[in-house]
Amino acid sequence: MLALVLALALPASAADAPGALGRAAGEVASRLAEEAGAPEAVALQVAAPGADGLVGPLAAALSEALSRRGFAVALLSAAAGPGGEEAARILGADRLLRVTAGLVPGRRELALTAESLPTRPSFFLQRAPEFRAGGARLWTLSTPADETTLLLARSANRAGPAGPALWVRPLFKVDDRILALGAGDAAGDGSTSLVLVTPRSVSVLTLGGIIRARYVLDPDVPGPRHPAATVAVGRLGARGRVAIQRAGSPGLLLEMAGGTLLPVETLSAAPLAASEGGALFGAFVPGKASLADVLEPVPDPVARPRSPREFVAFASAPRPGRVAHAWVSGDGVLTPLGPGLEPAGPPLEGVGSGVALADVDGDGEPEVVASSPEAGATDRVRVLRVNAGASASPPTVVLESAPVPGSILAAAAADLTGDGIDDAVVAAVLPGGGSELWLVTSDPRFAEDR
Amino acid sequence: MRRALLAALAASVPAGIMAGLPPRYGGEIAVALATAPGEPDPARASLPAQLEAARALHATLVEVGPDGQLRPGLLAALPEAEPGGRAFRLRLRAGLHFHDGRPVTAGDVAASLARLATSRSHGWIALPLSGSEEVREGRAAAIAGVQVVGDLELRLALDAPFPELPRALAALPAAVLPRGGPPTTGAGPFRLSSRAPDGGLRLVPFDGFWRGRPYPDGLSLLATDARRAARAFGRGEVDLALRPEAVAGAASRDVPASTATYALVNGRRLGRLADDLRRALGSLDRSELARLAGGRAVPLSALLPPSTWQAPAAGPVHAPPRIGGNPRISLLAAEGNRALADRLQVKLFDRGVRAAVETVRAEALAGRLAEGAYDVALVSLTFTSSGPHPAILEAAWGLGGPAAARRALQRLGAADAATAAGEVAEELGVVPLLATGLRASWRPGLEGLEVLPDGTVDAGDLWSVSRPAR
Repeated sequence: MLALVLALALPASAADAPGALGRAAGEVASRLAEEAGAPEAVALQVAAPGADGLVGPLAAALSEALSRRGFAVALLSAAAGPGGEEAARILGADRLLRVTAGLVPGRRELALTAESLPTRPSFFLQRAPEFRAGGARLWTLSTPADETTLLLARSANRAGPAGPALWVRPLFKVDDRILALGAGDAAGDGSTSLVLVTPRSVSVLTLGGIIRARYVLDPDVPGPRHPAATVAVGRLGARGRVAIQRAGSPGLLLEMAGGTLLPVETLSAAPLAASEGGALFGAFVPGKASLADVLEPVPDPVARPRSPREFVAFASAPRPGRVAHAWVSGDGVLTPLGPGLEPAGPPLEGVGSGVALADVDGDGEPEVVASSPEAGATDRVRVLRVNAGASASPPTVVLESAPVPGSILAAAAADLTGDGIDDAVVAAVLPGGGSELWLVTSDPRFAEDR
Repeated sequence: MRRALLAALAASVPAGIMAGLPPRYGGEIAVALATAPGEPDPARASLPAQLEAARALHATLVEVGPDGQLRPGLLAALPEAEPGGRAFRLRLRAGLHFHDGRPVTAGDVAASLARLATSRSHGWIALPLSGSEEVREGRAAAIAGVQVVGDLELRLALDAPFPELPRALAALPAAVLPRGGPPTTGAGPFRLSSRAPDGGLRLVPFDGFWRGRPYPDGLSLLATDARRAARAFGRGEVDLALRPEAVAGAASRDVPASTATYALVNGRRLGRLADDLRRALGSLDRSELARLAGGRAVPLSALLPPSTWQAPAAGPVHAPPRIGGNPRISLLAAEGNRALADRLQVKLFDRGVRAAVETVRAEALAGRLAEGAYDVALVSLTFTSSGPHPAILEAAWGLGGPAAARRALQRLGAADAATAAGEVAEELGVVPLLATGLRASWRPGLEGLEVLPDGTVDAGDLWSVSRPAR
């Protein structure tokens, strides 16, 4: 089969009127017009595996774009599958246009493949209609997915009478103990990466565990009795999008350049967040692996703690809601804070120290993704909904996973699957010394129930 | 309810693997010991309780990890021998402080080594250093071989190559003390807060400890007998017991057997009878003696206890013929070894020797040994070293004094450890009998317990999953 592949990158104008679907449809119609020449009868077959909500709107956008180019369009059901060519012939179409759409994991991009298959019978091959009379064409396109597209991509798969579907699935293992976990746009190129801090290195990885960049740390620096670190990924200054601090050592602002992370600045504070709500910096208690009650928008080495309380973890929601940040104390009590760092609800008991805030169900309000507070050789991922109200009340448990090996001591949140909904990643320290990462997502493309 | 669940689950979980729970700061930890810690001077400490207190208060230049490997302590890196092996360079970590706020300097290290050279218990550590003998004998105030090169740097010159010096410096008695400070002031994880009338100590965390602040907010070291320890455990007043016996109903584990008990046969007083007695004592069934001693006693057939070195297994020893002439001897023992002395009395009678048991206090025993005023003496020695070479020095020092230790040091330069140990035992007229260790018993919910090779526990690593209300 003759196949010509053209890769086309569409302009990334974000909020243009046609939106991502319109832009993609227009480009497909344009390419087909160059190839076929109107008027022709086109049978259109659209599929979007894992993002079924896109099928109808995309088919409509394609119909409109093709009609504007003078094509006569007949819709074929996606269920026709590989038999689409035969169905197109029965309809009397000159050509089958088979479009498959989906979101690119981790990139918030709409990707399309469009196959143009001639269906007119060849005069010379009338007795063997399964043989194509002319050349096929294949185009691949991608364009930034707008919020509407993201919403459509997930709407058909998520919320139901029993609430959102969530999955906890293993990602990959690393040989070292993960002290801190971050997620976000580490490279400044719009892609979302994981950032792992271990006693020996800071690594930027893809969701699949492929190392994009690494910075080697000295493992023998004096510190507290058990190593601890914080990490923030995102917009932190003019240069550098990854900031870390190990307890007992100065912090580092790192910039990704090619396959390496380069230190661009030392920090006198512990980076805690670099989310939409802005950057936040804290401080380790001297000699301890605990964090003091310090939250400042810029590194402040002389910042005075707001209280004598100490914490084992801090979490920040990628997209703040009523709750934007949270502290977790050694007793497993989570204190929710609003976007202005004001108290945002009653404390939540029974939260493990591996904690992230992530709006995993897309309702605009972050959930608490936390480890189990109970002792044991295995851990569980729990997704808790913070209840509004002034008085303490037990959290609503949205999900409790099956046991995962090891002990979850770090977590991070970002839209890692690129579907427009927050996901969380938790890192479980394994008894043998390595760590295993788990994805908590409502993206059905990553469904694997635990 | 949740805490009770945590505690119940924690009891069945190995240390360090606690789902969702990093080590937790805070709370008070109480440790029950067999005796009062007394004055926890590392250079003088000889009983397990004293060593445990010294471990909490003091820090050494080099450390031995639970895996037996050396790692830098107060030093920035492990000492490396200069070419020829007759000197070592030491460099302290920057920014170290003692409990009283004074900085830890190379001068403090030099002063601590000089102080150690005069210790009757642990002077063996300084023995390889050139000029330590002059200090021990009062002819010099400082060890000539210890050269302070800078605020943080020293050079240690030796009389002869001793590659195991870093391991000797890892022994707890080699901890660094501030010049002129009280022996309770150190650079260790805890500092002294108060003393109890019964000799117990209350310690609080030292924020400036180089390996980070300890987890507990307070540490109590209590002197208890077996019954009191069990009662205190039952009432939740004690978190950890380091005692000869396990606390009934509590989780427990063995601590390395670091206390060795020997029969010293005085050849000068007994003449030819000494050889017969050594053979008779050497042929005793040590397993039977260990059973009699109870607790954690194990038979000891070589000079060094298992905490320091796993010596090659000795071959079978056949019972020698009965000793003729109905000799009468005295069997000297410290009060704590009375039961063992009585058993030896019976065994020696079976071999034709009438032994009169004489028990004295531990301090008096040391004096009698130094004077040579005994026929056969039972001597117990708690080892602080790890590895065979330092342990041979420690054994020779403890059983035969500085002169014997110096000869042992020379032997170590010419023979392997097994040969040197055998020669030292023979020269001293020593018959190893048994080694004893403690049992560590802990309450559910106590985490971070790691026993070091010398049998002590770094209490700064202990933390509670659930905090008992006290």
